[in-house]
Amino acid sequence: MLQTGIIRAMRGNAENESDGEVVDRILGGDVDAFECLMDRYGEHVSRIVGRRVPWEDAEEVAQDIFIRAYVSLSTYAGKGEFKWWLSKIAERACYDFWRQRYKSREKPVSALNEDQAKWLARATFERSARAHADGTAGREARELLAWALGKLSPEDRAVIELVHIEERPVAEVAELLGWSVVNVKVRASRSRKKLRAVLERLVAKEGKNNEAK
Amino acid sequence: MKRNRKKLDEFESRLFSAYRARDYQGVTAESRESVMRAVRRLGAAEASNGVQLQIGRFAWRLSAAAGVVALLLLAYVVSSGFVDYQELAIRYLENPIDFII
Repeated sequence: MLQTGIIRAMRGNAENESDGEVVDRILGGDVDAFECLMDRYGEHVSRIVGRRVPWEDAEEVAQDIFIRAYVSLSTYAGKGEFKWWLSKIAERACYDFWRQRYKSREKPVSALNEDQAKWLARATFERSARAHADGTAGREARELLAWALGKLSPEDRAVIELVHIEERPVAEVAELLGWSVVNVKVRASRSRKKLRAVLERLVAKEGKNNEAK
Repeated sequence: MKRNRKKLDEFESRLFSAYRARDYQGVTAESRESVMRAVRRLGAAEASNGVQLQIGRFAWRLSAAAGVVALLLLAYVVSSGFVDYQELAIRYLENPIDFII
């Protein structure tokens, strides 16, 4: 009873503390204070992971991010915003996830499934944009994009997601991924071309299939 | 050609919009518990190991600066005509008759 009261009081205390102060407490040996950081930034990390990795792997990657953050907590040292520091860990963890996935090649990306192919046919050959605005189309479109991104390297994928889809400044992306600005710029241009080539082939193939029907 | 490019632009834009609209699942209670279990297992030692790691990284950063300082000192020694008097003394004591500076 008394112990629970103490824990609650400590947690209440932590809520009023700055991120730097909470980090200091954790480094001082109060491991439980890490839960406070999870409360504050759980949603932020989930949002990043939710976009970058497949739904079924998101939870595991999010856990990995928090554990990585804990292990390297002393490198934070109160410099800058904690959210930004955590974002860098999150983005790099997602990038590592894809590198690992590409190495093991657990899921070969050879062909579209039936739903994706149907969506592609609708998206490329129906004139009305409204036809694609329904809720079900979103999932197939995301899967199709994931399929196309699966044809690229993890580096190209990361740059396309951050620079072209999320439209973040190049300097910010460079810091997030720990690359040079020039590297991001060059890769951003090349990767976009590669993605467009993949999509172009896909659309052309679908066009031929439709003509054959 | 131009029409195809426009079509591809629209197609790509639809895919990107769908990506941005993707929903996310928050951190579940099980997930939080799992992280906290792992963190407690690692304990405070892991976090303080980070300090040692930082010191190590700092030392590596200093090594480059130390190398530059060493080179500058060497250049200074060469240009200032530095004489090693101890070496001269040893040579003189070994053979005082033939000793020439």
